[in-house]
Amino acid sequence: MSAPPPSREPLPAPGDPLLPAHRHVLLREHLMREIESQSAAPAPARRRPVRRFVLTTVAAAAAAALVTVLSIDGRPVGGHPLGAAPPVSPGHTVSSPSPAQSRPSDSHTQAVALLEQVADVASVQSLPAVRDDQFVYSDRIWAVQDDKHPGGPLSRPHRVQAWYSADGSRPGLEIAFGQRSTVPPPPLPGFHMPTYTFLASLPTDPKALLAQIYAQPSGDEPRDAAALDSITFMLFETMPPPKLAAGLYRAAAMIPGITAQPERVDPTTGRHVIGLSWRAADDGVMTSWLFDSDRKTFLGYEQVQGPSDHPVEKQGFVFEYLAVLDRAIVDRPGQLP
Amino acid sequence: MELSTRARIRAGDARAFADLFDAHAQAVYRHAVRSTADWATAEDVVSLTFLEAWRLRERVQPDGGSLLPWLLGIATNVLRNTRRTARRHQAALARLPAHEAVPDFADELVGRIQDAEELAAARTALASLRSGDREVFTLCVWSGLGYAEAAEALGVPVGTVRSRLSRARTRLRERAEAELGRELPGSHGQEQVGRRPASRSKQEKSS
Repeated sequence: MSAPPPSREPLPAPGDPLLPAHRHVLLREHLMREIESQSAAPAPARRRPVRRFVLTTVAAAAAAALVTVLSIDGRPVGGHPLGAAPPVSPGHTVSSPSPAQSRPSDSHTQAVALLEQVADVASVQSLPAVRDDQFVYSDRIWAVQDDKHPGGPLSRPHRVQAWYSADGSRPGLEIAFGQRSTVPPPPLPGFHMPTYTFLASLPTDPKALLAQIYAQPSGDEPRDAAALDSITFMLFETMPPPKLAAGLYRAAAMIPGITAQPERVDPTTGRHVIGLSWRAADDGVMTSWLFDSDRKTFLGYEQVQGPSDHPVEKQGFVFEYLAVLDRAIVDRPGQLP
Repeated sequence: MELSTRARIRAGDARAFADLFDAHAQAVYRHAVRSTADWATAEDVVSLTFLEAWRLRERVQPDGGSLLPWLLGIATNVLRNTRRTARRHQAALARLPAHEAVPDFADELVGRIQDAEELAAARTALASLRSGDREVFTLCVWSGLGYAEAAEALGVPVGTVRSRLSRARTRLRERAEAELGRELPGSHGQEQVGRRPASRSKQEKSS
């Protein structure tokens, strides 16, 4: 049953980490408070499994305490507060094969055509060589469902400036609500915690790329949904090299289930966007990648409750919205391009 | 009639969760520090693991032994998808007590300094493994789970655990030999360069 003696192991357990007694007590007290508050609440709703930005949600804590009018460059940020819906069409579910899905719909054909266009645009872009000690800067507008403070600052579109270490070896920085938070380096860079260096190491051929993405453990998620989630992370978490971005769009075009939404104006950025969407089979949550329909470039993504027999929220509820306004490579955290 | 620990966990008994935390938080923390080489992240992983355990409590099997394999299975999922899980428990994480940038106690600081190099080296070595092999290796070798326990934790057949572990060991041995060849040309029999004596590795199997 058990492993051979430790002395024969090629890599014995490193270090002797011990959780200090006072931290043990603090973490247990925290757990007990959370359990108590959840016990008092109705049945725990399922949460969508996507999150970007810092693990230590200092900004969230600050946001909860902060009541202010948000603005970007002096202009108030408009847009839909979470909970108010942009129009969406039902879309296709992922990984629930049905006769309708075996024949590609018009909407899927449109989606594949758009992915091909954005891939073409991405593939001719260039980026100077990136050094491991540099940082990926991104300027974003983000809003996320905040179940403890519905309608609170986090749930409204707000600006987040982020600097992530290119190779993940150095702490990063995020600025939101005027608060600076240090971002710990990702524990093990990979498909779900991509660094620039990790992304740059991947093949750009769509088939090879998709094979690697499918080879990742998907836990209890269906394979195609997990693959699309991974691609979402790779597109938005840091910055994919242009050739890889093109490969990712073409890989996504090979996954069944993505459909194109009618063009509309994104209320937060005021841009004309086309959403490419897929719907989770189990709870009907729709994830949409938003593309600027004029420039054929990626803008952001959102997750909205679609029709379902087992919805997490009422139909049209927005779980998360992200728009990436600018990305660039800089030399140090806090530096603007 | 007194309910079993598993029955109380499934029923959402808060006291049972406090006991579960006391019994296994240390083992989850050690696993997390060794997997991430980051003490602050490891604390978040501990909190996320127990928050996930609470959320998934009804999935606990009614019968069985220690709940540590179940918890380490959850911890593995958290480590796989830390940011996703953090998203799920975002509000709860925001209420976590702040991390200590520098430990309060000198002993702890000294321990961290001593461990840092070893943890970083192990992290680099682990990165050479496939993620599935890496998970089996850390659960079986570092956290002392048996094959069946690791299979339960990961939800894979026992045979898969065995083959992944074997592949991980082979890969790590090859890597160690290559390293040794680079650092000490011509020398033989020199093992575990730079490692401290094993005597500090106490309580490896405290569960």
